[in-house]
Amino acid sequence: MRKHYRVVIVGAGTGGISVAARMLREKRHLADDILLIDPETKHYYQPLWTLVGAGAVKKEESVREMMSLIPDGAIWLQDRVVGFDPEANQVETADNGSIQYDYLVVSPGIEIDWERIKGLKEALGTKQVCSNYSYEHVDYTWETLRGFEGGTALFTHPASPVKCGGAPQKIMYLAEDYFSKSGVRENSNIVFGSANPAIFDVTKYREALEKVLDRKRIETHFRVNLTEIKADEKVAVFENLDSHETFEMNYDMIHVTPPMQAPASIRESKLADAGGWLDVDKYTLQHKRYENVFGLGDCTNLPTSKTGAAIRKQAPVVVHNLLDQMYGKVPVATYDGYSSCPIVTGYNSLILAEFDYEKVPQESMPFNQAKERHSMYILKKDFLPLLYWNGMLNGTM
Amino acid sequence: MERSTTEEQTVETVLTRPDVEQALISLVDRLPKIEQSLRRLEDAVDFGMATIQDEEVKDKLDRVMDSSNIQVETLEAAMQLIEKLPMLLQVTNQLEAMFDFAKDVYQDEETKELIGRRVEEYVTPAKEKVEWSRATFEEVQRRVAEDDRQITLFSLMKWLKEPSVQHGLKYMQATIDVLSERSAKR
Repeated sequence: MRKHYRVVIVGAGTGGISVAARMLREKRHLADDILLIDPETKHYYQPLWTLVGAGAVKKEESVREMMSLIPDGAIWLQDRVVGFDPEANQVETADNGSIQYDYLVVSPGIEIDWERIKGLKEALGTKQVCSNYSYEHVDYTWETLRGFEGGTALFTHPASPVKCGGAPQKIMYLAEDYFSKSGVRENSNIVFGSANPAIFDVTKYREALEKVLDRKRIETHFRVNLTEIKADEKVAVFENLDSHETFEMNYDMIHVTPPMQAPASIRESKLADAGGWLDVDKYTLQHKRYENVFGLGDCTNLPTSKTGAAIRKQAPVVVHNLLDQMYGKVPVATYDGYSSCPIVTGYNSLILAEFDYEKVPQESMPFNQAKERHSMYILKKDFLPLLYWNGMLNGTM
Repeated sequence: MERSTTEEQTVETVLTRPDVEQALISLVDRLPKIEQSLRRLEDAVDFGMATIQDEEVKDKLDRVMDSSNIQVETLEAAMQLIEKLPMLLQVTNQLEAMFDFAKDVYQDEETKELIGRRVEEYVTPAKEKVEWSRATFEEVQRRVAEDDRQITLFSLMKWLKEPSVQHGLKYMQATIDVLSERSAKR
């Protein structure tokens, strides 16, 4: 087993594969000198899980074999990185010991902490407790929506950064739409319990979404955090984040967005900031202390929404700056914090939010994207998966 | 205006400087090589001059130029193209990325299957509607051909009770009302 590579990439998710593909397009001579380390054998296109949970798409469309996506010229090591030693330029793997690198790209994604909500792990997938955040259980969301006969449908957003900040509300809008079609909307109450102070960070889209909430008659509770589920009694326990008081809420179905954190291997390493996230410069994506280390994606401390669209803009910056560093130049490419969130507001309607670090809209289309549109729904459902599998993961989009 | 320090220096003082002295020694040491190089340069210049003055060579060059399409315009265009190279490289990269994307879609069986499913999803409802309209039209045609009844005033009165006829008539009535009101306002 080879123990040294010019470039080691931790994580063969959206970030890792995009960077490997782009780097090999730019510098073909790096072939066989780029190592991707990831323990998974499957690769998931997670943005589709919102639609899977709402019964609009089959979940099999969201998964592909990892081997089929590894760029030609990159080497995939199916192993788990358990530690980083940036001073010795090496990573520690679970089964293959230490591997040395000249340059390191860190992009292992985000870790879901199911156990931080008491009673969630045991109840998930049963007793009308569902979550779109797992391939195994995403079907149960659709089963729960179909079986819902009225009462309180509760949707939550945790007090932690999450992958795609808009996802917790998307499934709620779809559920409301489905309940209207299935005839149970009139005898049901839809409630959103969110740790955030408002429905969305960017003013333009927040105003549009507030109108959606009004139209759909959705009850909102902000600055509240789900701490426990008593599944047998169908009771959710929340903490008010301002007063720190706890209160209970009865439900007939609950969709939980679980708390998330940086992977333990990063949290416990010298690469982390005080919050446990990978500590990179927000513009160059170079590590703040180790100049041969770069990072992108959900594991970083970048102050923007953690989305695949953000990674699409981060990957070229990482590749440009890493190659500059490799050839003795000063890394000058910058990332402006661009992120995008296609907020599904129903079957056939979507608000396409795009913005930067300053929370200023950065819209790609020549029309007002804060308006709910059928065309943007088609874009998300039918075209973005294609652009992902065949464009982004090949380094061409 | 002040005079510079260099200008105030005499040849003697400059020659006594160690760095100048060292440079002179080095120069003298390399003189044979320099002389050799100068001779070669002189030979090359002589050769160039002889070639330019050689009528046969000039005629050959003229014939080559005449038989080719290279003109002043060609050279100007070449210069302009070189100036545009950075932009052309960018466009080429974009085209290459688009081509690679299209090629990957074409070669990817899973994507082709996905596209097929999506097309079917959108086409099926439209196909069903077309099929329904065609079947309805054929049924109407068949019944017209088979029907030898005389249409009477009584038949017309029966039609009036049909919901679809009522809807059509109400639509006509509303159109007449709106048109009358708007005409009156003018």
